Amino acid sequence: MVSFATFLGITVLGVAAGLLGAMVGLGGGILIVPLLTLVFREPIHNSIGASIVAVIATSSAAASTYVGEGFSNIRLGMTLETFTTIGAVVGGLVAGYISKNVLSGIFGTVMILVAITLFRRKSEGKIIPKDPDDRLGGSYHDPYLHKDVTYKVRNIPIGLVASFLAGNLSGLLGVGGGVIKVPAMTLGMGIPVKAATATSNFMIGVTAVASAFIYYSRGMIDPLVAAPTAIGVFLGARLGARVAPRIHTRHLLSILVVVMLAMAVQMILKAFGIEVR
Amino acid sequence: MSNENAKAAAERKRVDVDLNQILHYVLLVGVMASIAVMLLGLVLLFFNPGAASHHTGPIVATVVAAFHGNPMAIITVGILLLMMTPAIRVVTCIIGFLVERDWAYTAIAVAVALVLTFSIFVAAE
Repeated sequence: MVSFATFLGITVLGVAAGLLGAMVGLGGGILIVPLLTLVFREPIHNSIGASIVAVIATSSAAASTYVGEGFSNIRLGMTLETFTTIGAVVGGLVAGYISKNVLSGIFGTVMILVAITLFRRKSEGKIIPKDPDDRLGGSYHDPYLHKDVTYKVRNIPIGLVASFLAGNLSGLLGVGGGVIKVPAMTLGMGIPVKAATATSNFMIGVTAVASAFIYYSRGMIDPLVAAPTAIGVFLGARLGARVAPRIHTRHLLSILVVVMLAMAVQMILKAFGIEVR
Repeated sequence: MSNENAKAAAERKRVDVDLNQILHYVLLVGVMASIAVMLLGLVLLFFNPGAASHHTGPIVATVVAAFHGNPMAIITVGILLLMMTPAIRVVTCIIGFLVERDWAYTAIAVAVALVLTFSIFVAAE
């Protein structure tokens, strides 16, 4: 039997995670896993499985918009995906051998780091215009600056290392890994924030799929958890993208960071077998 | 000569713009279709709650059961469609790069497809 109350609860939670995530620029994953484990008492491996599925839905939907508007750098994304996917396969395989306590502890720690980076100003490195016959470099039209921006891609090895780590994080914890990729691209590779965010999103779906089949075959994707989470997060993210430009996110961000830190502490306590509700 | 280079560059730009639009639709249709199939399965499950299960089966058997109207199998096929969407996107990129005769990026895209294929085989072990 399935409890329809639980079911609706998970959908609502998904909407909330997607909405908040889209408003402050997070993928839903970092919020979904702790909410499913702490509120719905789902096993952490199943929560991560559900998060991977939900992350594919939101990142593909966002990437569809970005790529249509020409913000994503397809060639750069493809290049870095070679390493995000390998990282994700490794992460997904390793996750199966890690106990739920240790996984909770790792998740809590990563969550604290993500919460801290939310407060940091998004900065760019020096942007150098690309040569006309450079295929890897990108260009897009910035609607706010009313001009075409072109940029050259530098330091590819930095991007590959960051991509491998982001893939690990995706396969192990079910999060998108943008927190590693975006700064590596903007500060390390000379890519404008807009293109870096769009390209990161473009890569997240493929990265998540690289571990999704591993979770599926291990029975860690519970359809009754994954489907309502994915639908909820998808709806929430769409809604969030619409309301975000109209509200002040500064206060919201502060509240969210406090909530994230509280959940992170609970995840870490869980690692030591202490349940706080 | 430089005129030909410029023509080649213009052609590349045009194909790139097309690829952007094609990828836009591939991703959009994939996500929308999978959400629709999940919702269909959930609605059917609502009328037949006894069919509820927290487990997934082998992919081929699940697809067959979905065509027989099993609500859980339909929900799972929705999830699998979602998982296939980025994979189809990679295949679309391979075709796009091939059309552009951009062998280097065709090879890179094929490498990504190989890693995804490898992950399915590892999963099946």
